[in-house]
Parts: sequence; structure tokens; C-alpha cells
Amino acid sequence: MSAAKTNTEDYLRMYAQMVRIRTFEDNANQLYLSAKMPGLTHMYSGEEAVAVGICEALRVTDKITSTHRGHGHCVAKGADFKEMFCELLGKEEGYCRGKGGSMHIADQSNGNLGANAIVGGSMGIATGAAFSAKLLGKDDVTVCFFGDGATAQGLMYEVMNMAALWKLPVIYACENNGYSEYTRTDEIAAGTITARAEAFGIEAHQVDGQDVLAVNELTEKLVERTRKGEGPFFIELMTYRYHGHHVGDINREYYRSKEEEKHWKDNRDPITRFRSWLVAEGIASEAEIEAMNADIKSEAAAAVEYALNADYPDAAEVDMHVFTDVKHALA
Amino acid sequence: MREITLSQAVNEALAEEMRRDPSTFIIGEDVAEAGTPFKILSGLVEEFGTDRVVDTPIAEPGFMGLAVGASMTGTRPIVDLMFGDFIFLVMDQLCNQAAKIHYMSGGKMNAPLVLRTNLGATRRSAAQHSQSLHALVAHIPGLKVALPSSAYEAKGLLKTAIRDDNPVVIFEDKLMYNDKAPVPEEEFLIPFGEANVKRHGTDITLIGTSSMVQVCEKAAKILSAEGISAEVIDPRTIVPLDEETLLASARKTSRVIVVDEGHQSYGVTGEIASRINEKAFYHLDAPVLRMGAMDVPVPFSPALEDITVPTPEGVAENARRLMAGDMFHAA
Amino acid sequence: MPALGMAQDTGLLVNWLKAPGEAVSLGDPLFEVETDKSTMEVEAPADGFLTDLKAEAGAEIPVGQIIALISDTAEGEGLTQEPSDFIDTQVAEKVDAEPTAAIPTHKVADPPVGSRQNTNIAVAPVAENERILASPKARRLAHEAGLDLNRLVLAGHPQPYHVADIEVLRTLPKTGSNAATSAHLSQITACVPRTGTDDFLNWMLEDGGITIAPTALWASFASGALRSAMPDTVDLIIALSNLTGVTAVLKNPDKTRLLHQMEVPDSHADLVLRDMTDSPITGLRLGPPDTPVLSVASDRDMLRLSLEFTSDQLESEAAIALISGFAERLADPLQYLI
Repeated sequence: MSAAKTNTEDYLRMYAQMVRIRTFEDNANQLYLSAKMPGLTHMYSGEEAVAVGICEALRVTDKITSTHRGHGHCVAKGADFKEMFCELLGKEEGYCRGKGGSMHIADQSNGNLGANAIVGGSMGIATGAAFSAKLLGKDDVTVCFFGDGATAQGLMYEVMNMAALWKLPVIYACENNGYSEYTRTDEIAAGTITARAEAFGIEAHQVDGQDVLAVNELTEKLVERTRKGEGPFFIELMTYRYHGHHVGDINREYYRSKEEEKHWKDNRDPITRFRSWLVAEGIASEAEIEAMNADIKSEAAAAVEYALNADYPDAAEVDMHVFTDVKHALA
Repeated sequence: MREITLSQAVNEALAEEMRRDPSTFIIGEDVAEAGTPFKILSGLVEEFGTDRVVDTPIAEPGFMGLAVGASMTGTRPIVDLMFGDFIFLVMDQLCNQAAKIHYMSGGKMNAPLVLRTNLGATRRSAAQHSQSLHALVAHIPGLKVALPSSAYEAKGLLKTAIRDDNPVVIFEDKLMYNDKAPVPEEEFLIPFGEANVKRHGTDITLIGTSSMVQVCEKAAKILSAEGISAEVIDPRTIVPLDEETLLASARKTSRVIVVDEGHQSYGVTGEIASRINEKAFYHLDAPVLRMGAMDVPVPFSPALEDITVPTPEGVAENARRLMAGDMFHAA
Repeated sequence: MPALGMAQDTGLLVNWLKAPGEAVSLGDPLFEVETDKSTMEVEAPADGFLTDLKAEAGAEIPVGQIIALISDTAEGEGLTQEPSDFIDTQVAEKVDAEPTAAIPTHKVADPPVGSRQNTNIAVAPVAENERILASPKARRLAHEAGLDLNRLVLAGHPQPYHVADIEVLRTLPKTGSNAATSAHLSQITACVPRTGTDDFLNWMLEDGGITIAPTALWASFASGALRSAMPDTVDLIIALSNLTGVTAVLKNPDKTRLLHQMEVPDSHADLVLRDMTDSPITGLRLGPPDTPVLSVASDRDMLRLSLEFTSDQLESEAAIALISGFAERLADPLQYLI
């Protein structure tokens, strides 16, 4: 574990946020398996320290762009369970009025510009958000979350080039969970990932993505420098996803062994590790942590219950929001 | 009224809107000192600086994606895409991101950007610099598409596009950049979705877009000498489309030819013809004819290229055949 | 949806064999229908374009319901067509290599609007086998002015018709009551192999030494088919005729034995059965009859059936049921006599 920070509240909030993500995903998985959730979804479980470590270093006005595996980013940036579950179930009260769903969940009130169903699709958006912040004279920082698989997309190199040329306040956060969908990343990525950013003169770091304190400490420093105009930066966060590529990717031994999954869960789980550290440091007792976990569980259960009973959007909404200035595009 | 070229009209529109709204900026390849290969933007970088007239690397997906993100976060990018043919390069960012963000977010976010590009063959630029690809983007809900047919429209429509809160794609006819037309010196806007009846007639309606408006007007003159009274209509925007004006004319004349420089198959002509068939069927005395660019890649050789595009003589000939009750079985 | 059997209320549309907007020619396989255990192809009854599909594969469709139009244009006609623009359907049971030999073909004239109840039977103008080529506007103007485009056809005016031709139509002399009366005439034609009748009569003769007149058999079948088509009827009077006149009048011939049919005095018949098999005539249309007339004509190894009636005598559905039932009985007499 990294050097201790001094703010108990921060630690406990980081822990709570990681548990909230895990709990959210457990519920989402159940909703999917019990066929209560339309479509499919991609679980963030196992990668919690990445989203929480980074987002805890950001302000509400800072922007993030997210990925298809986006629930963790959304929770970490401050989203509410109720609106999230409503969105996952396609309900009217969802963040996107049920029009986005799991893969397009967005919460602009907290600076989350949205998940994206195109691999690497948000890299331009993140860079653009940084560009407009600079043009408008704001000190907002944008973090662009993307996976190791997205490093194969040409868009990334185009926008990193521009971000470096124009010193844009953006941090590219590559969540390297070792698998590019159903393929080991070392089979599809030549060289090292950080070297690609370095080729543009972008300072790049690699960090243990299962260590929330390490992630947070690094991000705090880079965000501060980014605000001062020293960006962009690149972080490769070494992490692991516990589920398959998506919830339905169950028989996956052809590309990943159960032993490997067990090893990560037993020895490197970000929540278990941080919990032990909190207890060892005397920041929280086991009982306090259990109580926190129980609270989050019941918060999630209540949100799921609420979402299941919530209304679907009225059919008349189908042609709304196509254009900003036309209430019903097909009327 | 003074006459200026289409190129000057675009330049004026950009300058006026950039003075009016400091959140606007131009981004694209060779837009600053070079002022684009067509010299449309000359002088703008001197007035607005390189912060707001931004030269990019040759990275269309990159700057398009950046513009999407910037537009979502408080600025109004005006993207310069050097040739309309390059729209294939930006399709993901334009169609999967910009066009859908308002809808996917349930109306909470939007992408107020303008993509300026061009269309038009017979410039001897061969297959990858001569296409008219506006139908591709008109097919995607969430994008508005404007097709100015003269300097006057180029200025009025561009100013409206910049103020629009939706993504707008505006295609200028690259062969008309040096064509002069009367353009008022005082400020004016041309609203979207209002067709312009360029010439009144009673026997046949010629609907032309962009470069084809002139072709239709010339055809109308030829026909007039033969005693056939042709009405010429310029829809000016194809999304939104001023259906009422087109239908009213179709009901009046009973005969319609739709002329557009996009490929004829699966294109703008088919869409407009189909709407007239659906909504004015019992007023038609002849099949609605489509005339588009020949369904071949644009050839380089002048001898070939010139026969791929509708001509005034061709339009007039089809009009005569419709007037004579030709069944067009062999057409 | 064609009626393919007496006990059939609906047909299962197995598959369209043509795509919407696709050009079709007379006799092209159009769609497959499953009834009971068998699947059959139904052929296109006219040239044109398949449009306005109203049923999808897998749908169970009431017999007589319009499931598509065959139009002059690939764009179709929309739903507000006057009845004379609807296609007529043709039931296909392949009995002959000739494309026209499917059974039964019906061509039903358009009864006056309002005189029918709930009939969705496809109809076509009797005066014309082919759809008149006219622009939508010309067609609309003619309709609004109460002008009949057929008169331009009869006058030899070349098609297609445009608005200018409507002016010509206005100047044409009226052609008397022909158009008015023909609107009341309906006709359905069908075709069956004659082997069913012949085999049965030969078998009776050879095995039992019994000679039965074909007309006796047909009278029985016509009566049976009519009774099935109009189940509320108690007594049925069938008049037998040839080309010269009535030869016998039978009461309930379907309920009596073939050799002991009950002749009754000349009275108003429910149906005239006209035997034309001794003449070279294979079809006729003589105008609205006083009584529905079911004609049987001989055409090589086929029997051609024709039912002429007016809408106040028979509803289209009953007429279709009658001729379909009659054809079925002719094809397999034993099944209906035992």
C-alpha cells in the first residue's frame, strides 16, 4: 500500500465508493440473469480502484468520458443508484430517460459525458472537452477512460497528437485489464502501451490499478499539473475484470483460466486489500465496515426495487430529443 | 445589391458569427494561414487568432471527434472538412457520436457543431475528390443537412447553421466558390426547412438541390421557349425538408423531376420522389422522375465525367417526355 | 386469401414467393398457403407489381380477405382504392400444365356499394381483364366526374391515359346502359379435370351395370355445394338446362339417389345448371341472369365451370363456396356420394 493519507473521511468515502460499484454490478448482474434487464451489460467488478482512485481526485465540474464498461465511472463520478438502475431498465426516470441504457449512461450533472458503445469512441469527445475548457478559459480537467483494446484504434493517436501539440488539459486513462474483449491483450498490442503516448511527448505512468491509494495519489498530482497547463498525461492502470467481456460471456476458459481469475480475486481484490488496510491503520473497525457494506446493500436493493416499479417512458417520447429545437421530430 | 462570390459569402458568415459568439471556433486542415485550398477562410486567422482558427494535423476522425466533445462542453466548433469525400473518414464521430448524443442522453446533452464541406463533380478531380455524399448524412436522424445553391444561400444558411443547437452538415458546391450572386450587406439569416421557389410555372416542377438548382433553372428556360412552363424549387435544406412547398407544387403541376448531384440510387432524389408519391399520388399525371449522378465512381476523363452529371438539356428532355405522356418503361 | 376447401375458414400464409414491389406475371407462383395438411402455391392472377402486402408469413388469414394488391406501379395503390382496383385472387391446385388451368378462377364484378355485407372478395371489372393504364390524377378526375375509363378503351383510344385524355372522354357519347348493368353481373370461372366424373360414371357402368347421366351427378353436386354454401336453406330447386332451354327441374337432388331424382313442375329455381359439354363452347357471359347459372363446358380433358350471378342473388362468399364445393365434388365424386 502506498503512503498513508491523512483524511479519514476521504479514505472511508473511497472505500464506500468501491463497495457501491461492486454492489451496483452485483445487482445489475442479477437483473440480467433474471431477465429483468433488457439488453446486455459489461461488469466493472474488479476494476473499482481505477474509477474511484481517479474520480476522487476530480471536481464535480471536471469531465470524464466513459466506456461500454461504464457503470463504475458513473458511480465514482457521483451518480445516484436510483437514476442509474432506472436507466439500465429503460425507465423514464433514468439518467437518459431510458434512451441510453447501460452502454450510453451519462450524468452530465456530475461531468460524466457518457459511456460509449464504440471502442475508443469517446477519445475525441474527451479531447474536445479539454479543448473547449482551454478555449473558454476554464481550469476543468477531462479524464478519458478507455480500455487496452481501444489502443488499437487510430483515433487515439490522432487526438493524443493534437492534445500534446496544443497542451490540452486531458488525462488519458487506459484501464488495462489484460483482455481485449475475448483476446489476451499481449496478443494484439505490440510494444508497450505507455510508449505510444511517450512517442507524442506525453508523460506516461503505469500504476497498480488494484491499489486505490496509489491510483488516487498519482491522479491527484497529475490533475494538479494538468490544471496548470502541463498536460496532457497518460496513465496505464493495471487491473482485472472479474466477469467476462459482458454478462453473457460465461464460458470463457478458452481465453482465460479459472485459476487466473481466482488468483486476482483472492490476492489482489482492491476492496479486500483496502479494507484490511483501513482496519490495520485503525481508520475503521470491522464492525463499522460491515455496517457500511450493509447500508450500501440496502441502498442498492431499494434503488433496484424502485427502478423495477418505475414507469417506462411514454411512447410519445420516441421521436423526442432527435433535435434540440424540434419537440417531436416525426410530428 | 452588391454581388459577392460564394467563397466571400462563406467567409463573411464565419467572420460575423465568430464576432458575435466568442464560443465559436474553426478547426480543420489548413484553415489558418492557408485559408483552405479554396482560399475561403483567408483573413480569418488574422482577426481571430490561432486559438479560434485551429490548424490540425491531417487527422479527420481526430478533429471531428474533438469537435464533438468541444461542442458538448460549451463551445461551437465549425469543422472544415477539406473535401466532402473525406466524410467517410469522420462517419463514426459524426453519425455515432454527434448525431446521437442528444437522443441517447434523453435530451440532456447536445452537440452544436457545424461541419462545413463540399460536393460537386466536373472539376476533373477524379473519384475521391468529386463525390456528393450528402444523402449519407441525411439518412442519419439527428443531423441537419443544408445545401446552399448560391452565395446568398451559402451565407444565410451557414449563419443559421452556426446558431443551431444541433449538429449541422453544410455542403457547398466547390464549383461555385467563384460564382457571384447578389448578397445583402445587412445581416440576414435563412431559416432551415424553407424551400425557395426560384421560378414559378404551371406544367412541371423541377426540384433541384445545390449545384442542380442552376441546372434546373437553365432547363426551365429551354422549356419556356417551347411553351412548357416549369416551376423550379430549391429545398435549401434536405433535413429538415420543406415538404409542404414541394407537395403544393406537385399538386399544382402534376409532374415532377427531382434533380440532385448525389448518386441516383438510394439517394435524395428517391427520398423526395417517394414523399411526393406518398402524399400527392392522386394529383400526379406522370411518374415522379429522379435524376442524380450516374451510379459510377466519378471518372477522371472530362469526356466521361461530364456525362455522369445531370445537365439542363437532359432535364429538359425528360420534362418533354413527361409532358408527352411517355411511360418511361425503358428508362 | 383464396378458399381452398369447403371446410376452410382461414388459410395459413406460409410464405410470400415475391417481394413487395416485385414485378409479377400472370401465373407466377405468388405465395404458399397451408390448409389441413397440404401446402399449395397460389399463382398471380395478373401482370403487374406485388404491392400493399397486408399479411405476413405465418399469419392465419380469413378466407376472402385481401392480402395484397397487384398494381400497375411498384409503389402500389394505397388503401383507399375503389374496389375495381383490387386484384382478383386465383386458387391454385395444379391440375394442368397450362398456366390458365388452375381452379377456380373467379372474376367477380363489383356489386353496387352497400349491397354487400362485409365482403372482402377481390373484384375486377368485367369489361376488362387488364387494368387500364392511367395516371393517378387522370383516374381520380374520371372518378370524381363519374366517367368510366372503359369507354376510352372501347373507343380505341390509346393508353396510358393522362389528364388530357379525360377531356377526350368527356366528349365521347354515352354508351347506354351497358356499363350500368354490367356492374351488377358477377362471374366466377373454374376448371377441373373431367377424369373424376368420367371415372365414376364408367365404374358405375362397368361394375354395377348402372347408367347415370352426367347431369344427374352434377345436379346432385351443385345442390350439395349450394346447400353447404347457404346452410340455412331448406329446399333447393335445381333447373337442368342445355343451350336451348330447361330440360328438367329437380328438388333437392343432393338428398335423393342419383337414379331417383325428384322432378317438380317448372318453378322458380335456386340455380340453373347448364350443360354445354356437347357443344364446342367453352365459356360465355350473357349478362345478368334471372337465376344464378352454373355452366359446365368441355375443354379437351377439362371441365370448365362458370358461375354467373348478381349480387342480390348470391353473396360473393357464397358464390365462391358454391363453385369451389362443386369443383371439389367433381374431382372426387365417391367421397361425396358415400
